[in-house]
Amino acid sequence: MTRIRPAQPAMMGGTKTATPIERPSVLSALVRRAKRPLLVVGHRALRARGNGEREIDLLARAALAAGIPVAATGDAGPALQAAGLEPAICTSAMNLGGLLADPGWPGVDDQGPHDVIFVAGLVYALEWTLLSGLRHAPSHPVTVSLSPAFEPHASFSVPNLAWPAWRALIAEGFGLEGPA
Amino acid sequence: MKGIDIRIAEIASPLGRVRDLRLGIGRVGSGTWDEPVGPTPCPSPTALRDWDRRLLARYKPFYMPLCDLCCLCTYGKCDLSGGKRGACGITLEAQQSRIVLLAACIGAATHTSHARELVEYLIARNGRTYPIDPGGLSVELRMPIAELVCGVRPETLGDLETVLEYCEEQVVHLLSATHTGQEGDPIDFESKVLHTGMIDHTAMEVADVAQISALDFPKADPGAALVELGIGAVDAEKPVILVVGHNVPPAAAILDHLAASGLEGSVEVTGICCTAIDMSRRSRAAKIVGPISWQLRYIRSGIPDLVVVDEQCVRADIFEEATRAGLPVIATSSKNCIGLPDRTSDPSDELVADLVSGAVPGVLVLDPEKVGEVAVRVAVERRPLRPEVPALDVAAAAEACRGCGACAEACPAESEIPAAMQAAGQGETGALGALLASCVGCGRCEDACPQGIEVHRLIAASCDACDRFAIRTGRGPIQDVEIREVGGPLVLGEIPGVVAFVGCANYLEGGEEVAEMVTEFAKRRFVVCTSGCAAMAAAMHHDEEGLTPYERFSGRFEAGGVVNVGSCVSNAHISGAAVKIASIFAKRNLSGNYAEVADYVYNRVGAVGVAWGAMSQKAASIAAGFWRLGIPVVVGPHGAKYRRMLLGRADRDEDWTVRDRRTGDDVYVGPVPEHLFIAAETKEEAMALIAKLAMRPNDTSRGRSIKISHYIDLHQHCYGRMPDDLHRFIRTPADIPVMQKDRILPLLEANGWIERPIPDPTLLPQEVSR
Ligand code: SF4
Ligand code: SF4
Ligand code: SF4
Repeated sequence: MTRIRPAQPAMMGGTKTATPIERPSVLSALVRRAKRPLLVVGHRALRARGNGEREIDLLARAALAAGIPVAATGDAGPALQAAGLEPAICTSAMNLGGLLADPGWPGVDDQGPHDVIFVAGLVYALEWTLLSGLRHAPSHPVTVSLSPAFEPHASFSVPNLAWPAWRALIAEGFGLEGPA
Repeated sequence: MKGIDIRIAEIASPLGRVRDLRLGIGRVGSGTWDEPVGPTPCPSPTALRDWDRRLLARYKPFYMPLCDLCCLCTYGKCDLSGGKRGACGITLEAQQSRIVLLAACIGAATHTSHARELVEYLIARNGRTYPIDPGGLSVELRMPIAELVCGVRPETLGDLETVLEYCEEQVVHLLSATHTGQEGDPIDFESKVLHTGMIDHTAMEVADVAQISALDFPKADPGAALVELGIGAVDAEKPVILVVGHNVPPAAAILDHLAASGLEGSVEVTGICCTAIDMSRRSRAAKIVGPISWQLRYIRSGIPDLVVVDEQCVRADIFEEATRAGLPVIATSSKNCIGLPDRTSDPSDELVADLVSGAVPGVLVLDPEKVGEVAVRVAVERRPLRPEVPALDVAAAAEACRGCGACAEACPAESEIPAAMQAAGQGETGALGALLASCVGCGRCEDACPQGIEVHRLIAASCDACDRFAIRTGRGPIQDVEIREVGGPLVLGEIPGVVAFVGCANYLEGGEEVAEMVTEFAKRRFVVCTSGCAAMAAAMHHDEEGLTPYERFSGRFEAGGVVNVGSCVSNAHISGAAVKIASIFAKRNLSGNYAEVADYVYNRVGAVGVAWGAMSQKAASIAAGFWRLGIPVVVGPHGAKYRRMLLGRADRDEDWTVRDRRTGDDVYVGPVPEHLFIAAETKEEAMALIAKLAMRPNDTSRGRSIKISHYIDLHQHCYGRMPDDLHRFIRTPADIPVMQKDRILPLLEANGWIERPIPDPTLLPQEVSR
């Protein structure tokens, strides 16, 4: 397995590091196998990338296609609504972290704990710390960082990718588009 | 003055068992004060453990390790991940809380040491019997924190030493608890964090009251002067002295020397960080350049002729930077000698000659009066020799950029530097200059660049932000009469809250966000307080009429006021105001009565601290001092790196009952305030949180409906929809904002809402039927 540096190299966490998601098939498998997934989307996903496209629009399409409920943090909620996705919960990432860490929390729909937490679009340091908190949480969720910046504390993380490669990975991984 | 000092390990009293009681009859004060001493004067690290555990039962730590390893002793390194324990037996959770305690101890030690140096200096200058007077006739309760914590009422500078002895002793105990093989339980560590915070506020109060009294700062003055801030306010034609740090005696001595030698007005004394604020409290002629993030760009600007550093938040490489810019340096603090030779005993003439000629690049002088004289003379003599800083050809320098991205990887602000740098290489410098707004001035980009590009310098050179602003200088404490006027409306909730913007300048999106939040809450008729670097950030923004928040809003502690209390150590006046509400408005005894007063503040005073750019260990201990009083603190995204939050669980009804003081019944009051420490991702999210965290169980229906209106409004602005937790905050139909009734009633029905009583709330069993 390739060893990848965190997007901010000083942000090393410990002896274990996330498994990089280097092929769309890995992402597809994670999406497929998740029984009670949740996608957390932060406000950094609002930034325009590439030719004016935004991460948040692709993430909304991905969540809708995979039927994954979304937690909107920061100011991501209105943009998701505009993209046709009503978030299951709007709250702060830290509050959400406290809830997700608790094995007794019944989830955004009261149907039971979430087993796989996808995270994207948070400020790097905030995503990093949230994933660290979840890594050590008694609820033991599988965490998947979808941000284009490698997050060592996740169970699985997208590596450091420029916009076109990131876009292709997410689109194919969530089955929005076939292989390029 | 040393008097009787009695220590009682444990006694049974009608209030319960009291541990570690210490009485200091006649130690301080004139004896005109007859308030009975409460159960915990000068509490030990365990004396308030019961109160702490009540808070921590509601606000559970959510640990987010920055590092899974521990390397504090030679058993290590130990890997604490996956449930593993260290060789000493410690868990990952306990290790995180230990590091939080360590940070808080560093902060409290720093303020205590700061206070000690200041008090010793002022005693040497003004005498031990010099009276304490932070507010003239307007402030009878001069040191609410010292009175609450220590059960003493200091009256002279000498009396302050007694309070400091207690703080010093406690910091030693607290630090010792972080040694390998001491505490192992995270909640006991957390309790000690809260104790450290309380000590920190006590020491800060000592420091600020001492300097207000003896250095003639504004005394609780709502009309404290508007002074100038910003690099554009500096007259670079004059000799310019730069002072950096947090401890004001050398800067005050510079101002005094100018006045004594008739040079006032002909030399610019400029400052960065809290020394700047404090010297502007002494003289309106002093200029504030900006917060900590301005160090590199101002030193490199070619404006200053000399750099004087004291202590705290001074860049460790300031000597190298100044030397590179051709500036002599005077270090003035025993805590920050920066490798310079101690020339304190040398004659001033020799020091001036050596520094002006460049025979030595810098000196350590541990005598503030000598610094005052030498700094002025050096600046005046160096002015004609000031080197011209050649105009920087940004495009030519940026051409070397290969777009490798190393700078962006190093940048804490996550700035997209490479594209902007490459555009600058082609002559388009606009994008590069725009990065300055969010730049914290750390310089990590420059160290990272393999091409040796001075990235931060180029960013600064691409932006001609040379503005000047007005800031109301630090006024010090809140007057007793102001407390009497706002106490009622605050405790009833009709003034929707006190929001205090404090702390450092580690902003993710720039300091302008602080100014925007200050303006928003002042317009919403909250009482807004500011201090330290946050007070400066709040000033660095003009509204459409060209006014800063300090020009636009009054400086009174009132609804819609914007109150700059002063430097970091002035934060004690914000916690002090909450304590004074309990004393002056509610007539609670303060003396050694911490738990009762904290219980009062927690349940009744809708105060929220906001440290949007919190960076330092001092910010950690300042926050902890607010937490122990039950005052929640919101930090910016970088604040998550303090590695743990204190989060309430709104969905667990059983966590949110209080005792009704009248009946003794347990009553569900909803999650108010919901969290004690939380990082927000964006300014909009922070504002929604602040409005929510200002709710308290004691709010009247009128007060609660006002608070809920603000919460709904700010929540909708951030999240684009109504909050889904209103049923938890609405107790009776009268709590519902009239204009929102149609929207809220269906939400209540959907959540099975039932009406509930509004109690006279307390967490303390001994408070029932008092
Ligand atoms: S203090 Fe404990 S956990 Fe840390 S290195 Fe020593 S034995 Fe290991
Ligand atoms: S100096 Fe500014 S641009 Fe450079 S790394 Fe620090 S914050 Fe980023
Ligand atoms: S590190 Fe230097 S060379 Fe690399 S992108 Fe940044 S400025 Fe350009």
